[in-house]
Amino acid sequence: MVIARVAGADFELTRATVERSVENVDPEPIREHYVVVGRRRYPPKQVLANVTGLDRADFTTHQARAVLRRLGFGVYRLGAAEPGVERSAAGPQGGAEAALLTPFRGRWVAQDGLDVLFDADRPEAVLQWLRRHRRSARVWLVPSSPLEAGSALSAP
Amino acid sequence: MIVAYTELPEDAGGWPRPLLDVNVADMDEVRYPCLVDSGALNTLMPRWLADAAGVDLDGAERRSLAVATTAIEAAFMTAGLTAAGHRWEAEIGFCEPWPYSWGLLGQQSFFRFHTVTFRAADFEFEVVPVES
Repeated sequence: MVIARVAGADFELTRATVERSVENVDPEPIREHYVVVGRRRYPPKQVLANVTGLDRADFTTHQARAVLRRLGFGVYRLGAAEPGVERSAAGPQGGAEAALLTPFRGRWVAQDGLDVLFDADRPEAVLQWLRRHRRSARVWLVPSSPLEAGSALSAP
Repeated sequence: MIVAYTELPEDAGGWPRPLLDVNVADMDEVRYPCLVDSGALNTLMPRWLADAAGVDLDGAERRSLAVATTAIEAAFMTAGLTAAGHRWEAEIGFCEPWPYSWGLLGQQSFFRFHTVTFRAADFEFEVVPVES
Protein backbone atom coordinates (compact mmCIF):
# COMPACT_ATOMS: atom_id res chain seq x y z
CA MET A 1 0.00 0.00 0.00
CA VAL A 2 1.13 3.53 -0.71
CA ILE A 3 -0.01 6.67 1.08
CA ALA A 4 0.02 9.41 -1.50
CA ARG A 5 -0.46 13.05 -0.68
CA VAL A 6 -2.16 14.73 -3.62
CA ALA A 7 -3.83 18.15 -3.65
CA GLY A 8 -3.49 18.45 0.11
CA ALA A 9 -5.21 15.16 0.89
CA ASP A 10 -3.83 11.71 1.77
CA PHE A 11 -4.95 8.67 -0.20
CA GLU A 12 -4.28 5.05 0.70
CA LEU A 13 -3.75 3.33 -2.63
CA THR A 14 -2.92 -0.20 -3.70
CA ARG A 15 -2.29 -1.71 -7.10
CA ALA A 16 -5.58 -3.56 -6.81
CA THR A 17 -7.64 -0.45 -6.14
CA VAL A 18 -6.03 1.27 -9.11
CA GLU A 19 -6.67 -1.72 -11.35
CA ARG A 20 -10.29 -1.96 -10.24
CA SER A 21 -10.86 1.75 -10.76
CA VAL A 22 -10.10 1.54 -14.49
CA GLU A 23 -11.35 -1.98 -15.12
CA ASN A 24 -14.24 -0.83 -17.31
CA VAL A 25 -12.82 2.52 -18.32
CA ASP A 26 -11.63 3.19 -21.86
CA PRO A 27 -8.28 4.94 -22.09
CA GLU A 28 -8.29 8.49 -23.41
CA PRO A 29 -5.81 9.59 -26.08
CA ILE A 30 -2.22 9.72 -24.86
CA ARG A 31 -0.29 12.91 -25.45
CA GLU A 32 3.14 12.13 -24.10
CA HIS A 33 3.22 9.93 -20.99
CA TYR A 34 1.28 6.77 -20.25
CA VAL A 35 0.91 4.13 -17.57
CA VAL A 36 0.25 0.47 -18.24
CA VAL A 37 -2.60 -0.92 -16.12
CA GLY A 38 -3.57 -4.46 -16.98
CA ARG A 39 -2.35 -4.44 -20.53
CA ARG A 40 -3.90 -1.12 -21.47
CA ARG A 41 -2.17 2.21 -21.69
CA TYR A 42 -3.74 5.23 -20.01
CA PRO A 43 -2.76 8.86 -19.49
CA PRO A 44 -1.44 8.92 -15.89
CA LYS A 45 -3.74 11.79 -14.93
CA GLN A 46 -6.80 9.86 -16.07
CA VAL A 47 -5.89 6.94 -13.80
CA LEU A 48 -5.07 9.03 -10.74
CA ALA A 49 -8.22 11.13 -11.16
CA ASN A 50 -10.27 7.95 -11.44
CA VAL A 51 -8.89 6.29 -8.34
CA THR A 52 -8.87 9.40 -6.12
CA GLY A 53 -11.98 11.14 -7.42
CA LEU A 54 -9.96 14.35 -7.75
CA ASP A 55 -10.30 16.77 -10.60
CA ARG A 56 -7.39 16.54 -13.03
CA ALA A 57 -6.69 20.21 -12.56
CA ASP A 58 -5.80 19.45 -8.92
CA PHE A 59 -2.50 17.71 -9.72
CA THR A 60 0.18 17.50 -12.37
CA THR A 61 1.19 14.73 -14.74
CA HIS A 62 4.48 14.56 -12.86
CA GLN A 63 2.64 13.84 -9.57
CA ALA A 64 0.44 11.23 -11.22
CA ARG A 65 3.45 9.47 -12.74
CA ALA A 66 5.28 9.49 -9.41
CA VAL A 67 2.36 7.98 -7.47
CA LEU A 68 1.71 5.28 -10.06
CA ARG A 69 5.37 4.42 -10.27
CA ARG A 70 5.51 4.03 -6.46
CA LEU A 71 2.65 1.54 -6.80
CA GLY A 72 4.78 -0.47 -9.22
CA PHE A 73 3.10 0.39 -12.50
CA GLY A 74 5.19 0.92 -15.60
CA VAL A 75 5.15 4.57 -16.62
CA TYR A 76 6.56 5.47 -20.00
CA ARG A 77 6.86 8.17 -22.60
CA LEU A 78 5.45 7.69 -26.11
CA GLY A 79 8.09 6.55 -28.55
CA ALA A 80 10.27 4.93 -25.89
CA ALA A 81 10.36 1.15 -25.80
CA GLU A 82 8.65 -0.67 -22.97
CA PRO A 83 11.08 -3.06 -21.28
CA GLY A 84 10.48 -6.78 -21.13
CA VAL A 85 9.59 -7.35 -24.77
CA GLU A 86 12.39 -8.77 -26.83
CA ARG A 87 13.07 -7.27 -30.21
CA SER A 88 13.97 -9.36 -33.22
CA ALA A 89 16.14 -7.69 -35.80
CA ALA A 90 14.12 -8.93 -38.79
CA GLY A 91 11.96 -6.16 -40.14
CA PRO A 92 11.89 -2.58 -41.31
CA GLN A 93 11.58 -1.27 -37.73
CA GLY A 94 14.30 -3.50 -36.34
CA GLY A 95 11.69 -5.47 -34.41
CA ALA A 96 10.15 -2.42 -32.70
CA GLU A 97 6.75 -2.89 -34.35
CA ALA A 98 6.62 -6.61 -33.52
CA ALA A 99 7.52 -5.77 -29.91
CA LEU A 100 4.83 -3.08 -29.82
CA LEU A 101 2.15 -5.46 -31.09
CA THR A 102 3.08 -8.56 -29.09
CA PRO A 103 1.07 -7.63 -25.95
CA PHE A 104 -2.01 -7.08 -28.15
CA ARG A 105 -2.13 -10.50 -29.84
CA GLY A 106 -5.74 -11.47 -30.49
CA ARG A 107 -6.99 -7.93 -29.83
CA TRP A 108 -8.39 -5.32 -32.18
CA VAL A 109 -6.19 -2.24 -32.08
CA ALA A 110 -6.08 1.30 -33.38
CA GLN A 111 -2.46 1.63 -34.47
CA ASP A 112 -0.80 4.87 -35.49
CA GLY A 113 2.78 4.22 -36.53
CA LEU A 114 4.66 2.78 -33.57
CA ASP A 115 1.85 3.55 -31.16
CA VAL A 116 -1.26 1.62 -30.16
CA LEU A 117 -3.93 4.20 -29.37
CA PHE A 118 -6.63 1.83 -28.16
CA ASP A 119 -7.46 -1.85 -28.03
CA ALA A 120 -10.68 -3.80 -27.64
CA ASP A 121 -12.18 -7.21 -28.30
CA ARG A 122 -14.39 -5.97 -31.15
CA PRO A 123 -13.64 -3.73 -34.14
CA GLU A 124 -16.82 -1.75 -33.51
CA ALA A 125 -15.50 -0.67 -30.08
CA VAL A 126 -12.28 0.59 -31.67
CA LEU A 127 -14.23 2.47 -34.31
CA GLN A 128 -16.43 4.04 -31.65
CA TRP A 129 -13.36 5.21 -29.72
CA LEU A 130 -11.82 6.76 -32.85
CA ARG A 131 -15.02 8.62 -33.68
CA ARG A 132 -15.45 9.83 -30.10
CA HIS A 133 -11.92 11.23 -30.02
CA ARG A 134 -11.86 12.31 -33.67
CA ARG A 135 -8.77 10.27 -34.46
CA SER A 136 -7.83 8.11 -37.41
CA ALA A 137 -5.73 4.97 -37.31
CA ARG A 138 -5.03 1.58 -38.77
CA VAL A 139 -7.66 -0.74 -37.30
CA TRP A 140 -6.91 -4.44 -37.30
CA LEU A 141 -6.80 -7.68 -35.39
CA VAL A 142 -3.25 -8.32 -34.22
CA PRO A 143 -2.66 -11.93 -35.24
CA SER A 144 -2.15 -14.40 -32.46
CA SER A 145 -1.58 -17.48 -34.59
CA PRO A 146 -0.25 -18.46 -38.01
CA LEU A 147 -3.87 -19.10 -39.06
CA GLU A 148 -4.90 -15.51 -38.55
CA ALA A 149 -1.77 -14.44 -40.35
CA GLY A 150 -2.32 -17.04 -43.03
CA SER A 151 -1.15 -16.30 -46.51
CA ALA A 152 -4.52 -16.68 -48.18
CA LEU A 153 -5.39 -17.54 -51.72
CA SER A 154 -8.86 -16.89 -53.07
CA ALA A 155 -10.71 -18.34 -56.01
CA PRO A 156 -14.15 -17.67 -57.46
CA MET B 1 4.40 5.48 -52.69
CA ILE B 2 6.88 3.28 -50.85
CA VAL B 3 5.40 1.30 -47.96
CA ALA B 4 7.30 -0.58 -45.27
CA TYR B 5 6.34 -4.17 -44.54
CA THR B 6 4.43 -4.70 -41.28
CA GLU B 7 6.21 -6.58 -38.52
CA LEU B 8 4.24 -9.26 -36.68
CA PRO B 9 4.47 -10.90 -33.26
CA GLU B 10 6.75 -13.92 -33.28
CA ASP B 11 4.05 -16.53 -32.67
CA ALA B 12 1.94 -15.19 -35.54
CA GLY B 13 4.54 -16.27 -38.00
CA GLY B 14 6.91 -13.46 -37.28
CA TRP B 15 8.02 -12.60 -40.77
CA PRO B 16 7.00 -9.09 -41.93
CA ARG B 17 4.21 -8.89 -44.53
CA PRO B 18 3.38 -6.41 -47.30
CA LEU B 19 0.24 -4.80 -45.87
CA LEU B 20 -1.27 -1.70 -47.46
CA ASP B 21 -3.64 0.51 -45.46
CA VAL B 22 -6.92 1.14 -47.28
CA ASN B 23 -9.79 3.53 -46.59
CA VAL B 24 -13.17 2.09 -47.56
CA ALA B 25 -15.89 4.31 -49.02
CA ASP B 26 -14.46 7.58 -47.68
CA MET B 27 -14.47 6.36 -44.06
CA ASP B 28 -11.44 8.46 -43.12
CA GLU B 29 -11.04 7.38 -39.51
CA VAL B 30 -10.26 3.74 -40.29
CA ARG B 31 -7.33 2.51 -42.32
CA TYR B 32 -7.72 -1.21 -42.80
CA PRO B 33 -4.57 -3.17 -43.67
CA CYS B 34 -4.76 -5.51 -46.63
CA LEU B 35 -2.23 -8.05 -47.81
CA VAL B 36 -0.97 -7.15 -51.27
CA ASP B 37 -1.51 -10.67 -52.57
CA SER B 38 -0.74 -11.34 -56.22
CA GLY B 39 -2.08 -14.87 -55.75
CA ALA B 40 -5.55 -13.64 -54.84
CA LEU B 41 -8.09 -13.09 -57.57
CA ASN B 42 -10.53 -10.99 -55.55
CA THR B 43 -10.31 -8.12 -53.13
CA LEU B 44 -11.79 -9.35 -49.85
CA MET B 45 -12.53 -7.67 -46.54
CA PRO B 46 -14.56 -8.42 -43.43
CA ARG B 47 -18.26 -7.58 -43.39
CA TRP B 48 -18.00 -5.18 -40.42
CA LEU B 49 -16.12 -2.71 -42.61
CA ALA B 50 -19.08 -2.45 -45.01
CA ASP B 51 -21.43 -1.83 -42.10
CA ALA B 52 -19.11 0.78 -40.56
CA ALA B 53 -18.60 2.58 -43.87
CA GLY B 54 -22.28 2.56 -44.75
CA VAL B 55 -21.89 0.31 -47.79
CA ASP B 56 -25.34 -1.13 -48.46
CA LEU B 57 -25.06 -4.81 -49.24
CA ASP B 58 -28.72 -5.23 -50.21
CA GLY B 59 -28.59 -6.45 -53.75
CA ALA B 60 -24.95 -7.51 -53.48
CA GLU B 61 -23.91 -10.52 -55.50
CA ARG B 62 -23.34 -13.45 -53.13
CA ARG B 63 -20.59 -15.92 -53.98
CA SER B 64 -18.92 -18.82 -52.22
CA LEU B 65 -15.14 -18.58 -52.19
CA ALA B 66 -12.36 -20.85 -51.13
CA VAL B 67 -9.93 -18.78 -49.09
CA ALA B 68 -6.90 -20.79 -48.01
CA THR B 69 -8.61 -23.98 -46.77
CA THR B 70 -11.86 -22.32 -45.69
CA ALA B 71 -15.14 -21.90 -47.57
CA ILE B 72 -16.39 -18.35 -47.13
CA GLU B 73 -19.52 -16.49 -48.23
CA ALA B 74 -18.84 -13.09 -49.73
CA ALA B 75 -21.21 -10.28 -50.71
CA PHE B 76 -19.71 -8.41 -53.64
CA MET B 77 -20.35 -4.70 -54.04
CA THR B 78 -18.52 -1.86 -55.76
CA ALA B 79 -17.16 0.83 -53.44
CA GLY B 80 -14.47 3.48 -53.45
CA LEU B 81 -11.09 2.53 -52.02
CA THR B 82 -8.25 4.91 -51.20
CA ALA B 83 -4.69 3.76 -50.66
CA ALA B 84 -1.24 5.14 -51.31
CA GLY B 85 -2.80 8.50 -52.17
CA HIS B 86 -4.95 7.03 -54.95
CA ARG B 87 -8.71 6.51 -55.06
CA TRP B 88 -10.35 3.95 -57.31
CA GLU B 89 -13.62 2.07 -57.60
CA ALA B 90 -13.25 -1.58 -56.68
CA GLU B 91 -15.42 -4.63 -56.51
CA ILE B 92 -15.01 -5.85 -52.94
CA GLY B 93 -16.16 -9.13 -51.45
CA PHE B 94 -17.33 -8.44 -47.90
CA CYS B 95 -17.02 -11.70 -45.97
CA GLU B 96 -18.49 -13.04 -42.77
CA PRO B 97 -16.95 -14.74 -40.96
CA TRP B 98 -13.48 -13.49 -41.84
CA PRO B 99 -10.86 -15.28 -39.73
CA TYR B 100 -7.84 -13.31 -40.90
CA SER B 101 -6.14 -10.27 -39.44
CA TRP B 102 -6.19 -8.34 -42.71
CA GLY B 103 -7.99 -8.10 -46.02
CA LEU B 104 -6.73 -9.14 -49.42
CA LEU B 105 -5.95 -6.92 -52.39
CA GLY B 106 -6.17 -9.19 -55.41
CA GLN B 107 -5.77 -9.16 -59.16
CA GLN B 108 -9.22 -7.98 -60.25
CA SER B 109 -9.73 -4.90 -58.13
CA PHE B 110 -6.21 -3.88 -57.21
CA PHE B 111 -3.38 -5.16 -59.40
CA ARG B 112 -5.28 -4.10 -62.54
CA PHE B 113 -5.06 -0.51 -61.35
CA HIS B 114 -1.60 -0.42 -59.77
CA THR B 115 1.96 -1.35 -60.53
CA VAL B 116 3.51 -3.00 -57.51
CA THR B 117 7.21 -3.62 -56.98
CA PHE B 118 8.24 -5.78 -54.05
CA ARG B 119 11.67 -5.28 -52.50
CA ALA B 120 11.48 -7.96 -49.84
CA ALA B 121 15.19 -7.75 -49.13
CA ASP B 122 14.55 -4.21 -47.89
CA PHE B 123 11.15 -5.01 -46.31
CA GLU B 124 9.34 -2.54 -48.55
CA PHE B 125 7.12 -2.35 -51.60
CA GLU B 126 6.18 0.42 -54.00
CA VAL B 127 2.68 1.12 -55.29
CA VAL B 128 2.17 3.30 -58.35
CA PRO B 129 -1.29 3.86 -59.88
CA VAL B 130 -1.59 2.76 -63.50
CA GLU B 131 -2.33 5.77 -65.68
CA SER B 132 -5.68 5.36 -67.40
